[in-house]
Amino acid sequence: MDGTKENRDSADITTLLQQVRVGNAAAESDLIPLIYNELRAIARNQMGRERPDHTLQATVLVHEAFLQLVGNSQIDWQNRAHFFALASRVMRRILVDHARAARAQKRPGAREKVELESALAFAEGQYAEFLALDEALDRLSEWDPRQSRVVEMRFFGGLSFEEIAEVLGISERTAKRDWRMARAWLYRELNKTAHEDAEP
Amino acid sequence: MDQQTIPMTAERWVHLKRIFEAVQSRPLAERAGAIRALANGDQELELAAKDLLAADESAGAFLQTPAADLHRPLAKERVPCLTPGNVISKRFEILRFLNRGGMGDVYEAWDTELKDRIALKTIRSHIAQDSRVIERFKREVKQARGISHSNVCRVYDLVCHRQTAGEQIWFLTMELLEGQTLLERLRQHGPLKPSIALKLIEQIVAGLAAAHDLGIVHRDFKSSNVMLVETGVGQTRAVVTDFGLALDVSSARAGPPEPAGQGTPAYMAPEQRRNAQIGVAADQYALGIVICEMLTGVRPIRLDSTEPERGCAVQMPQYPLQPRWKAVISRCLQVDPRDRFPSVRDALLALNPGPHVTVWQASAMAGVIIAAVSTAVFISNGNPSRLTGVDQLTPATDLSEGPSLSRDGKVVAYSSDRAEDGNLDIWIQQLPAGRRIRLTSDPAEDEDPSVAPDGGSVVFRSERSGGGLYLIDANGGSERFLAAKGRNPRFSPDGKSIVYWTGDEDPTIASGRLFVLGLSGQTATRLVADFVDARMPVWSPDGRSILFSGCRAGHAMPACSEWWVASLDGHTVHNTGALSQLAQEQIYPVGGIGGWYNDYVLFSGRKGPATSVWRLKLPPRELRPFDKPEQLSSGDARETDPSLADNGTLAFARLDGALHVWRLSHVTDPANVLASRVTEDAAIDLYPYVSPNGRWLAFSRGPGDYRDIWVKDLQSGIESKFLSSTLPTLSPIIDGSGEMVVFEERATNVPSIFAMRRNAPAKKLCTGCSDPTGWFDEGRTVFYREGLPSEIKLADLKTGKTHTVLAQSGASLGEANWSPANQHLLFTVSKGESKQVFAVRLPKSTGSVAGKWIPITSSSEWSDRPRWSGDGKYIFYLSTRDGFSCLWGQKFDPDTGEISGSPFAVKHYHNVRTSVGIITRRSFNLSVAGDAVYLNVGEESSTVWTGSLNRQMELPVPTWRP
Repeated sequence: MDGTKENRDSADITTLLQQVRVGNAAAESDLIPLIYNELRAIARNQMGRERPDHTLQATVLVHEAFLQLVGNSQIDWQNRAHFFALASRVMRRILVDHARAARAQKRPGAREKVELESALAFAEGQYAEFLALDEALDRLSEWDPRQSRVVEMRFFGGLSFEEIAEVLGISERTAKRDWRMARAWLYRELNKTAHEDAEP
Repeated sequence: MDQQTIPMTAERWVHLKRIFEAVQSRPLAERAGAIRALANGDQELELAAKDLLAADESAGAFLQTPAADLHRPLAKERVPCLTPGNVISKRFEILRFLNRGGMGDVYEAWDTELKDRIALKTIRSHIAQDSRVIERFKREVKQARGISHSNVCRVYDLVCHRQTAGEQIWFLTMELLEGQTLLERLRQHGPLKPSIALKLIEQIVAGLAAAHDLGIVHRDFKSSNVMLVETGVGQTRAVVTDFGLALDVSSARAGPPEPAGQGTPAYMAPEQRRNAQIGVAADQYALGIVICEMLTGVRPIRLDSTEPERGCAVQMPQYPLQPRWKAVISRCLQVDPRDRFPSVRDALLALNPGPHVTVWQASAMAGVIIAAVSTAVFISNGNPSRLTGVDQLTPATDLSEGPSLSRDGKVVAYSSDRAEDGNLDIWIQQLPAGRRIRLTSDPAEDEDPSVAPDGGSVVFRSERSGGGLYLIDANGGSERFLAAKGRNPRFSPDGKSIVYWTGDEDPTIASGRLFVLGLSGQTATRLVADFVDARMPVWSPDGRSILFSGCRAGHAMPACSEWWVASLDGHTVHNTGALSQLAQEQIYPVGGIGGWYNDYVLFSGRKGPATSVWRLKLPPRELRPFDKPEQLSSGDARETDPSLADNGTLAFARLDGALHVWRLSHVTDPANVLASRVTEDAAIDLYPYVSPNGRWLAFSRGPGDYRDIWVKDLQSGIESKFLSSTLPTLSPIIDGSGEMVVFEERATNVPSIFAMRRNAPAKKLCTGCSDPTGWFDEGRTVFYREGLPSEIKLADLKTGKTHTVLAQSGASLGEANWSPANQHLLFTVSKGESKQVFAVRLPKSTGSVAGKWIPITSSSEWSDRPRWSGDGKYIFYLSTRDGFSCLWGQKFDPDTGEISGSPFAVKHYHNVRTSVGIITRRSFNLSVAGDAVYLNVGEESSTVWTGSLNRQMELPVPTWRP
């Protein structure tokens, strides 16, 4: 068996999500590859379609993954928020990996890996920005991991503040304040980096 | 240099945050002071805070648009895409949203045709966007529809609904079942008593067995696919749902999703987990799991360590079970399918050898049941569509095409295989949503209907007895033979006559003749007899003249073809110049002309990769085109056969599916012919030609007109692009080295032949010539045809010299195929409506034909694409002698130069869904290496759609004025 669509049924996923919710890191690391594989599998199916120009909305992708993994089993919205929070981390990894590969102009020896990424719609010019953002987020997390997570969920996952608040166990107001400061700092960091890069 | 020298720490960050949040609400003028005060003498922090505030002000939309917007689906989840009151496909009124399944949403809907509530399950986009999945779905639904059993959920249709321009939803309609699933029941109430379980199992087995009797495997049987429906006081009906509809949509495998079981691996038989090759025994395995679940409340645990080849590889739950139950479950769960019961009925017998009670005292159950397979798809595209209210009229499970509307738009006739899978009959239906009535039932194909203006009768083409036209009353009754060989019949506006043509469907072979036939016993009158080719006629709006595609004189078709108008009395013939104008716009008509309504001609045309419905302004008083042609339909599928009614209703067909190259091996031994697909990609692959040594396959690939030439190394399986072209490229042939390809290219309908060595520029051999069909001196000289009517010629690739090999006045010759083994040339002779195969001796040494033409096929049958086998002892060709386009073989004795024995069928293609007959004659090729035949086979289906021409287009309301 390949790892895709791991032989679990939705009840297992729900249990894992509940464990993530109570802070079980092991459950989280169990779930991430599941989500990643599911995204990959869906994207690959998408790639087989006739219209070569078709791009794949990450939104649709993650949504499909959610339905594939969790199905129609009863699941409350808090668990769903946790799932999407994890998916946003996966999306970050996917986008950044792709940007890195594209920048390094890697030969498609790892074609399989690039398949999903190339199905995602984003402009080529954004590669450098993605990488700079990723690095800045890593730095930010050294002294404020929560702010870093807020940005990750908001930007890579598109989660609402309500959902972010639920996932992080903070108030919505706190989530918004975290977002504002982190965004300002990242904006400055990224512009600074771009400026330095431009210097001879 | 970074101005920041003190490294950031959590403490400093908290400090910075305090400053940032305290100051951001202050007026700008006060900020500097406030920051300085709060920074408490830490200059660096002061600077950082200032920078941060400045960034906060100027960040604008930075990061505001998520890289991946995952929020919307969350929000969307609460809002179903269809709302109560919506009527879709003019037939199903949405009553309420029921549930969301893994593959889409489920609604309760009112079916205005069945007059009943049904379940409507939408199909999610990523599943339905893959046309191969939809094709597979269609087959599955068609099959599942055949199961009629009270313990199996009835499946009705697969329909595509166009919601707004460019958005479409695929959905399945099925029986609405109210109750709860077996799984829900078990979760709520725990295990069942054996006596109660038995009553349910009896019903489940009856349902499964009914399907198994038809050879249908469920593939995804599980407790959540069993509905428990209360049918009366304390009585429960167990219904198996989603038969055969399981699709492995999440598979990581390349290629189209396979109908392997998935979703719930706990129920999957070992052979199903290993590969998709499963039989009914896989359902029995799942049944074993479900029985265990029913009695114990839990499923057995699969032992994941190395699975034995025999025996049972699960661990049963720790639960006291009667030995008989245990034994039955364990036998169902045998790893080797052969060790299981011969059938599910035997499993039931083993469980319950004696008589039994028939009523299950079930507890009351509430709620509406939703099955797991369902899906929703919105395919959006940016193509223009001038039509409103575009809707699918015929279900996607049927192959339906060639719609024709009555004048008032209230009756539509079309051909469909609804009643007999793969065989087209004529159907008629009231609009907008009447019952579908089957008019004909001949085993040969009935197609191209034209409904009388008053809707009272239908004239159509049938392939029976050599092909011809027939008339039938719209209320049924007997069919009246009208004309042999006729094609594309069209009723006159007064309904008293028809116009049609005869000849070769290949539009490059001059053979078409036009006829008008009065329906009250007159004989057919030929029109424009001086034309070398005239075809695809339609009536003028006033019924006094005929518009047709014709070539009066010229060097090559279709370059010399134009749209002409001839008066019925034969006095005037007028060239409209319309085709030239269309060619300038790079629009090439496909199939018959749709009709001439007031000032507009409606037709299906190909432009670039898209085929869609167009109209061209051609006022009958002016007889020349005005303005640019306008695209009416979206072109996101191949859209053909338009028909228009007075009220602006437009009907047309949409074709989906694939054309691939197939290989038939051992063709000299028809009992052992093996068919396999050689190309698999999603594009359309045409004109397969295999090099004489069997090593290389050349073909053209791409959508619509954008075709590239590809070469497949049949030894390694590697495909490579040989030539990229922005022009239509046709009929490539390749030599044994795989390095030299000769092909035809068309620029604005004018064909030329080119020769090209791999990675070298292409060299033009001739202009106005077409169809390179094979080698004479391999890699050096090539056969092709040229002229009107066409001659067979030879071109030397090196010198560019050409010369005529064969010609006959008044007949088009083509399809030259030479055998080095027997030194004979095969070719076709097209004359009027016959196409006959001949052979003639052509020694390599002299290079000129010698002796008499040897007839290979009879003049009464239509034969095409004759090819020698590698040893020169057999001839293979396409023939419609049995009413279908099939591959036939004929033994040939090279020594006597005579055929021996009768023709034999190598491979029949009677099913229109997997057929060579549906491929445009021009696009088809047949090629032989040794005893293997390469040909293209269409795996297509089509549906009939209706729409309304938008009033804002200022289209004059079409009127018929006889």
